Amino acid sequence: MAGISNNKNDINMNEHHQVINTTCAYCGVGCGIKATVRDKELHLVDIEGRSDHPANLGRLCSKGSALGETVSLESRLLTPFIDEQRVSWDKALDEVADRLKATLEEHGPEAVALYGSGQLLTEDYYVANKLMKGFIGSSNMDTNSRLCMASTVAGQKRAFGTDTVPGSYEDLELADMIVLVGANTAWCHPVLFQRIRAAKEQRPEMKVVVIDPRKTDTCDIADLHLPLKSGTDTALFNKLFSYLNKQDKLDQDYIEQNTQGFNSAYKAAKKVGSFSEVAKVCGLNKSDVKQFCQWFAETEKVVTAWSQGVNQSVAGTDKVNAIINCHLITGRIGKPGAGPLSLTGQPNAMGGREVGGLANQLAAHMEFANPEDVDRVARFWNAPSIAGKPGKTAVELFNDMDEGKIKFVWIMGTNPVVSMPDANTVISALKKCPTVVVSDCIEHTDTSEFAHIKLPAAGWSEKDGTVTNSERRISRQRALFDLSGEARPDWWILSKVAERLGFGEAFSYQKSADIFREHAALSAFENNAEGRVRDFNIGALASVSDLEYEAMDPVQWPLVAGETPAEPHTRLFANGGFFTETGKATVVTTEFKTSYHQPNSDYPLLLNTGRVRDHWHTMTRTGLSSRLSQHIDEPFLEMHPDDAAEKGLLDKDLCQVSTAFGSALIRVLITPNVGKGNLFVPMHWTRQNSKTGHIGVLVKPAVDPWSKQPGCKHTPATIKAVSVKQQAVLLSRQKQSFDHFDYATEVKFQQGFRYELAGESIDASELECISSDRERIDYTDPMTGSTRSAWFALGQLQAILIVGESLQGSDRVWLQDAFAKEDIPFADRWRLLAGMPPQGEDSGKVVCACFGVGEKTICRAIEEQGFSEPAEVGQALKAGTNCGSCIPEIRKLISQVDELAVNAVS
Amino acid sequence: MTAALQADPVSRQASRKKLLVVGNGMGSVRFLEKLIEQKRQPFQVTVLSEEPCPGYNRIQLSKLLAGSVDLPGIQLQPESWYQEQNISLLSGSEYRVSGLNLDLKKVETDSGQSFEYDHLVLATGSLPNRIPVSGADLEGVMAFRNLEDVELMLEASSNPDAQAVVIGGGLLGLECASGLARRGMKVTVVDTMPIPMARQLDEKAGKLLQGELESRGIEFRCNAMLDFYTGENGKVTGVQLKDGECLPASLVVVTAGVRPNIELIQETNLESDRGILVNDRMQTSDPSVTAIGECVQLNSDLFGLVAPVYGHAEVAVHRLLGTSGERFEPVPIPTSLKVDGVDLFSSGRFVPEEGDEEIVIDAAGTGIYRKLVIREGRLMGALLYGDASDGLWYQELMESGQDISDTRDRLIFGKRYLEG
Repeated sequence: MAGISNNKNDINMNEHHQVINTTCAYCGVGCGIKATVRDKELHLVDIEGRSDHPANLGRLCSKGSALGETVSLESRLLTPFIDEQRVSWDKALDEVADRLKATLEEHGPEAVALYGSGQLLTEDYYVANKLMKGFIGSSNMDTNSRLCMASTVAGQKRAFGTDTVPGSYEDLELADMIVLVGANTAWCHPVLFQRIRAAKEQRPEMKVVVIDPRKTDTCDIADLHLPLKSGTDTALFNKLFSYLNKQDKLDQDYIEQNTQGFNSAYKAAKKVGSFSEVAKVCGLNKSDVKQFCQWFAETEKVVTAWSQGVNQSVAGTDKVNAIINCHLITGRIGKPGAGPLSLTGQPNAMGGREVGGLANQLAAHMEFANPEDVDRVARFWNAPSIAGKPGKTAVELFNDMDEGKIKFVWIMGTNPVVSMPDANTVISALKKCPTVVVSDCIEHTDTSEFAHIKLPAAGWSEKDGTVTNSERRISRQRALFDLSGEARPDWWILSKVAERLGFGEAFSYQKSADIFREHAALSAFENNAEGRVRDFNIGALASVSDLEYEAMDPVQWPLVAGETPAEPHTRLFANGGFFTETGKATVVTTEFKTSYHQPNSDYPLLLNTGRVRDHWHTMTRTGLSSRLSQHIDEPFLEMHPDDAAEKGLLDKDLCQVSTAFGSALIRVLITPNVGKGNLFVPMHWTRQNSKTGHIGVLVKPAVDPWSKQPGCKHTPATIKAVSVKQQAVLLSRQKQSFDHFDYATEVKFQQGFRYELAGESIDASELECISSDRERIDYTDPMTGSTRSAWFALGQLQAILIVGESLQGSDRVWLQDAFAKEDIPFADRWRLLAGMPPQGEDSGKVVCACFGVGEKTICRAIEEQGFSEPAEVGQALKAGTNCGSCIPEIRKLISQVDELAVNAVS
Repeated sequence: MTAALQADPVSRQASRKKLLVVGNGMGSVRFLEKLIEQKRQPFQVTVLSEEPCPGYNRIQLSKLLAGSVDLPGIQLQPESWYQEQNISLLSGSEYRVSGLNLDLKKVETDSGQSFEYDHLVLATGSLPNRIPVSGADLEGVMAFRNLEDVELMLEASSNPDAQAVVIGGGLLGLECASGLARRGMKVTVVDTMPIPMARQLDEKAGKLLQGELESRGIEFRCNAMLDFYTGENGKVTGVQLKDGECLPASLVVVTAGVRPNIELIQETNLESDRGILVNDRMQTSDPSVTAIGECVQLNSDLFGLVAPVYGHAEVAVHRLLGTSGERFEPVPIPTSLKVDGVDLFSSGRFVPEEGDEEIVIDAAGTGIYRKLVIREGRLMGALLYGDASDGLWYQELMESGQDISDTRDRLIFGKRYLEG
């Protein structure tokens, strides 16, 4: 049977340690992990890439590699709480059910909402969706995937009739040209980037084009970088469309047999005009636009891969279709090395989409728009009150809540206060909502702050089920440890509430395999000519035994029962066969319009948001790994040198960035990698770890008309220099509050917390938990206002505060390491006040997070040994040899060192 | 025929010029070493010393007292070295020089021997100051200057009931007190200043040092004035302070500074003031007579530390041999020393004046204290307590007068934080 492994290698005892195959918790690449459990009780596990997983073939990125450092019980929510009081599960479940019933009785199903997450497993998602849409009768179930992939879902549905990914990762290796659009693949999908890099190293003639307003690390392997103006992707791809037509590069047969809508689409596309006009609109060099179009036209095997730069846009769906159009009209789809490929953000956004977890989806790729589908699903579930129309999408949902229309919300495994645009409205909505239930594995999040009921969910390493990655591949995520405390799987929590609502029979699941079988059966239910043929069909898995489920190998859908395809469904649509009524794909008319949200005199700059390499989403997990905080540890605002000069800002100054929705105090990072007039801020920092770096408050909540996905990367903004009297860094074994400071960022390290601080005055008396009777040493320079103090107890450093000058020079990594020392001799203690080690020992900012290799160490090696290739550096220092995501930085360091050498000679 | 010639068995050396050195302290030995370094030095050398053994490192007498070194350990050169170098070393009380005749170019010893010279080097050192109060000549009231003093103190400390008072809380006094305490004596230090080592330390460092020494059993009477010594049967029994307290004592060591030992030249025409006056080539008013070390005075300067004394020795050798025209230039000498294991360094203006800025590390609880005094971007003074490793580097910074503004935030942590 397809997908079922006969060997029993998925869970294995290796010597004394249990080896478990599972799937990474982070991005949509869905890398296989080989987890060697060293101690089940202490949660000790070694993490390696699984070499036989088709997604990663043994590779892992820095985040995945550090998963073992994020599974401690630190910061976990381990018991249910009602109004901050610990309660039993029975009491908590009763309370949820009672409040839910009361809300339903008084206000009806429209007043109830569930907000889920791409971190939920397919089985959890399935149960949530079934409960809401089939039994509570509300389709107000949306998920954080709305912020991530909704535009791709909408675009693919408009083009293919279904939300179907046509290609596979291996196309990245088979392609002769890869176009990366709005995707910093090097940082956000590092393992796919490594695959592309490896392919390009083998075949240097393979072309890589990066289309991104920012010059990111992904450009390290680019033959051409098009730093287009934010929001102009559709103009560029429309130009490509008309160029392909003009150059006679169309696949007329494919267009005729398998598509519809070409003429209208072409008419709209050619409106963008000449290369000069397009170049002007996009802010690009004409020759670069031409080069891109020429290469695309000449290259048969092209993969266009995109991510949030395309999706998180008020014209995201059009962007997706403008891209897909160019593949449809050239017939470059579903063929080895050719096709459009959406790079999903979350580990199980795809699984969520399969079960129908978005408010406008019904279930198993069936639609509200189709009354037969609604009836079909109702019959399958034996649902008493199936929802008949789409529900509220994320932004609408929280707006409705703010307006008092939603009175009960259940938030599962996500942190909307941080991730949603216009966070102030989300906060206001949650404050108003009479019942806020939060299921999470983390106790204190920006969202759980507003919860009336907190339910402890099982997290990665404890939960058990399946996830689907960006290439339609279903993989098992397996438990490595027993459930901690009173944590329970989300499907269990949902089923127990369902039982209390009187739906016990329909939710009598005992294990995730029960749910998976039902999910698989629904996908195949009347999935035929008599019913309706749908793309998503995993009927072949509907009758897997528990053992087979346990041992299931990664497998790509579709997997139709009784069908034994000659080869697995690696690719779809090469010969048409779309799931529209006509069976033809739609070449969607994508008229380019200038964004409505242009900069203006009040807000003359454009604020873009995104990710850093070593953090994930809202850092609740990656923030636990001190290693991952070493690469970039403080929120920052990237701006072009000209913009900085205009405002009189210097690198690392603090600056106030404001939009029509809110403002934040944040540190400036001056770089030519963002265009003039553009700003970039990372999305990760929360109110838990940063006083003012929570940038959700800045982002405009405008959404795409088709996908309802917010355009998080395009908010008009303004900046202002801020003078703060004092800046400081504090490292403390114990957590400190940042109430006393205007600016504060908390960074976790192995033995404590580091705080970057700024404020009117900073002195030790404002610190908590540092009692004066501890052995204290001080440095004072009244003239410059610089003071430094360190506190010791039992021979160990307890806290160190450095105020004033020399902050930049303080070697934070070295100071953090000092907290690990057991018994610091008196003779060495005062030197800690220097904030840095004596010369020769400074390793510098960590570049390679996997092996903890610092910038200065790398530069010394480059200089002394004359390295010219990252591989040489890797051989000498191991840097870049694990996940490889620091290779672009190592390359940069090589060129910097070379430049210095050239300057020194000349 | 003089004794010196008789003492020389090699007759052909009779034609060599006679160089006579009086004294065998640290300056004398360094002079001899530098002389021998010059391969073909032309002199027939004779050294007269009133001490019973070859020259030793006087600075380490405190260690000898404390028992952390033995006598051979502090000897600068063994007796065999003098023989190997053909230096005639005549030591012992009979070789104490009591007369000098510049016209006849000869000296006379206590025992009546006389020695002629072609050239004379005076390295007579210094004498401890006495405090002229009642009882100062009682037995048991003594100085701390030479081997004999150490022997006396050791003898005194062997009495189980012995109690000592050290007058003077300077370096020598503290070292003496520390040594006696290590030998098991109850020791009290009496000083007129509010803190020990008041010339080298500020109040904070002084208190730290006092606390450290108190923790080792040494008591202090600071801001205390000595009235007189009490005695019985000619032996000291106590120290009476002006505030009324009487400290019982069977041993009183007075460390009240030293003065140049110029007794030998009092009756001669050699020019002198507080010390034997020399020019910057260490020549006295008689061209045949050189003087070096603590006995000399150059302009108004006297010399009490070893570094300039070594400088004298070198300049003197070069002048006698005509090997270079080098002149002695007095440089400000920092105090870099160790008191009973505590490293100290102080130099320049370490107590700030109006308009000075100071940078301080106060890690008193760990035995570390540092202070730099800065004015207009320049280092004016440095005081290091507990870790003196960067003292010389600060000294260089002070001497060069370079602007330290750019490195101010790291300066106090020392050289290793600024290099590279």
